[in-house]
Amino acid sequence: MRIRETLQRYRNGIVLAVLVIASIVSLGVNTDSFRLRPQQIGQSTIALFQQATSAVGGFVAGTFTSIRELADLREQYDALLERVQEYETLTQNFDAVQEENARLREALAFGQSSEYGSIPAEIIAKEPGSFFEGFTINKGSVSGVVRNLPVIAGQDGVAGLVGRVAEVGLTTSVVMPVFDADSFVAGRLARSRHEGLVSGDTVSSGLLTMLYVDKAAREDISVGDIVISSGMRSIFPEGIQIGSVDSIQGRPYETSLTILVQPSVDFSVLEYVFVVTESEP
Amino acid sequence: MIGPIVYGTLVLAGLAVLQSTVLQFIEIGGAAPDLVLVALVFLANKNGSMVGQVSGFVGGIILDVIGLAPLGFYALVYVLIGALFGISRGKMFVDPIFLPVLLILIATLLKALLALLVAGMFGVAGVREAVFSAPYAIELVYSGLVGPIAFAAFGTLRFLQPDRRKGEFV
Repeated sequence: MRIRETLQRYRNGIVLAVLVIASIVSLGVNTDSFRLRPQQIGQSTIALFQQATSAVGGFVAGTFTSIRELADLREQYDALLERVQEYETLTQNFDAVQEENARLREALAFGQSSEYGSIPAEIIAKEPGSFFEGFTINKGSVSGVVRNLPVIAGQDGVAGLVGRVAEVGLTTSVVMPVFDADSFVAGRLARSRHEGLVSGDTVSSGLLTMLYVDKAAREDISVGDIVISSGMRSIFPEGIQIGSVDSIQGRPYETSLTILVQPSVDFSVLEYVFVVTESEP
Repeated sequence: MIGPIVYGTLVLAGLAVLQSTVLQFIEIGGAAPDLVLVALVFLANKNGSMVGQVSGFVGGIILDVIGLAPLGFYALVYVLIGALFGISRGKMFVDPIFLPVLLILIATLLKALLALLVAGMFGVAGVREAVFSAPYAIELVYSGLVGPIAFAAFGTLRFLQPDRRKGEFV
């Protein structure tokens, strides 16, 4: 009787203690990269609702956008007519440029190495909380996605590095973007060939940080230089464009340079990505 | 007691899904209001610590599952917020505007503080940068402004509040 009264009296505290302990145990297991991942089970279940909500939200947003766009269409029509004439001229030159490009690529042996086996995917949800930067794509283990596969996206004709697959459910996966604080990519400056480690740096307004670049390389590096993945001891294949040099920092007492890198991918407009399954042709 | 816990948890789950999908359309400066937190504060304030902590735990687990957070991160943060805000039940008169704004501002700041503590204890990267960023400051204001509207909306949902006929109202 007394035990029952005590339990009743301290019911709130007991439940709170149980829930806090459950959270802490879960965190402990999860942050130690324990093999059993209950997150996958939950993620697969929630994914059904995310896909449905994303579809409905996209439809509603699309409807409103369409109405607004109708007003702009007439104006754009006239402008486009003028541009068509310009493009007709450009098209005539395109075939010649394409042939030249193919010859150059063949000569440089880059033609095959730039092609990856990949799974196209659509971004259906973003990180719901405030402290992490992941996003959810509509392909999971059923489609052949596994953890740590690289994710790329094509923007402005360039295949840029988006990140890697961090969690996999049956029909969805969570992608850790390259600007996440936990993301590390072995990088290389495409022109000068100096290497470094590219990590996420959310402090510097979306810029990445390339660390451990040889200090002697200072004179060889310029703002705007392209940074690519080096493929050295990394899950990311060689040659994927990561970004371009935004600024170079190197204090006299430091042994290496720190380079701020502007990502090649504009994440604010990213809708479709490719999960790279084969880095070799 | 059971009703608000079950329905509250369902509402938090629905809001978590909305937050990860549709809410990105109303982002300002990369930030959107934390509707899960707003609903949790409402639930805890109306129903007390038990409902607050249980709903906070389940809501937090859902956020952990659908995002990149390690399982238990948001659960721990939200269970403590739910328990703390549950203490305020029946102790204050909640006017339509001022107090909802104040409660949400305090809750958002508390969320940041708890997240920093949990991240520090378990070595979770990126939280410090996220807390001391412009988007989080925008989220603070945005959530605060949304608070009165959300409180008014949740107030119309009888199943989220204690049943006065059963003497659950304090």
